[in-house]
Amino acid sequence: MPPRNDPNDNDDLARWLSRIALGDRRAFEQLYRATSGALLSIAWRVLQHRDLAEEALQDAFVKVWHSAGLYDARLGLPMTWLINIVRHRAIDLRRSRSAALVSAHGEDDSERLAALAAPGAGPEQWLDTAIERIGVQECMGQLTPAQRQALALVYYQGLTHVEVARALEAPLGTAKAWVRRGLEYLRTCLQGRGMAAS
Amino acid sequence: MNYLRPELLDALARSHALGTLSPGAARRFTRVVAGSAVAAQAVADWQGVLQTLEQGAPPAPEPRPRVWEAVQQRLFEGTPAPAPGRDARGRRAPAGGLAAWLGWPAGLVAGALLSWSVLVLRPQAFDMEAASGVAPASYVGVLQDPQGHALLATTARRRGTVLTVRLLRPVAIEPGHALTVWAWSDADPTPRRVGGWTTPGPTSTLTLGAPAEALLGKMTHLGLSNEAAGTAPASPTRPFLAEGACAKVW
Repeated sequence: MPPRNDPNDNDDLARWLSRIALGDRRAFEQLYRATSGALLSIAWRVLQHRDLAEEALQDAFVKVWHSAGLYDARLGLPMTWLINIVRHRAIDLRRSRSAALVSAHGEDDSERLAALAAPGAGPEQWLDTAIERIGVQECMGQLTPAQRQALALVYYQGLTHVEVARALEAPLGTAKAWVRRGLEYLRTCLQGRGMAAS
Repeated sequence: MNYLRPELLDALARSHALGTLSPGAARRFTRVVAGSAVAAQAVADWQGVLQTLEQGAPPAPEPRPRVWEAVQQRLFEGTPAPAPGRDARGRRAPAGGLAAWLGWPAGLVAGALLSWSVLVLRPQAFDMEAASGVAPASYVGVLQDPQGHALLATTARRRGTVLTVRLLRPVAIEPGHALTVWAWSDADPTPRRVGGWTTPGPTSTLTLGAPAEALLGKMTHLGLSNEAAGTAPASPTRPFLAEGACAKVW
């Protein structure tokens, strides 16, 4: 079993992806060992269900095997590419199985959404932590609490705009504007620190 | 619609990266991204912005060993070690023959081709539609249950709008349920619903919403599931009752 690598070691990830595109199973295993824990956390956050999160991870790695040749280092980091594959697969699963998720939680949908949107609940905390670690607290401090909550719910848990509107008891158009505004602020703040393309 | 108008492109790229586009809009925009370096860069830029939010997310336990085992099973079971050499799009080099070119496990290809020869030359053997005087079936599937027994055979002509399905072993259709066929590709493992049937009996025909070539041309796998009748579920109930290769024979 190869030792685990830091998932942020993008040079290794890029090298493994290029080998996987050539059919190298060992590189595929190395990539899996290095990234599967971090990627599972993304799927788990969205699906809140271990079995489903592992199913999303499994689907994502099958796609990685077949699509590794499509990774383009000019467009972004390999970990960003991998995160995108897993997160979108988890969102697809979440939306297609929302009824099953509700059943698994033993709550009706409105209670579950309200719990996600509760002040200080997971997504909001995660956003605060990220903002602090990126060092953009002051810039992002200009967002209203509702805009921050909407952004956190959509990104971390894959909620649709409709679900955000229900969770925050706001009109759909307002919820969409909150998410859009939150993201635009985030990009502007990152650009100010040279951490995003202008 | 001009998707590359800067303001519209930025909005679509943002929603695409975030995952808030509707499935139809996402599929259309994915095609735009595949054909436009500007659109691909716009999406990648938003993905980079979003990735910074990962710094606040909590860790999760490691995936259980069965996940890696399942990945290997889905990709490699029954196939020899992958031959070196793939082209830039990720396909295997042609040294492995048809299976390698099409990315199918060799055993499934052999089974599908054998089934095709029987279905085309002796369709009555499976009580399926004869192809006399017209083009033979182009898309053939033989789906196996988890124990490896052939459970369902499917055929469709390339430009036809009918998928003929033949149960090779009895499958009870519960009241209010429909046996449903799904298709997906190696590149996009999200199953797409092909059609379903509720009538008992070994053979049924499913009317396709478009010529088989359009629906199945890029598909490499078929699955069979049991779904509530009268609905069009977005995703199948898993595990599948049976799975197999979707072989394009000509």
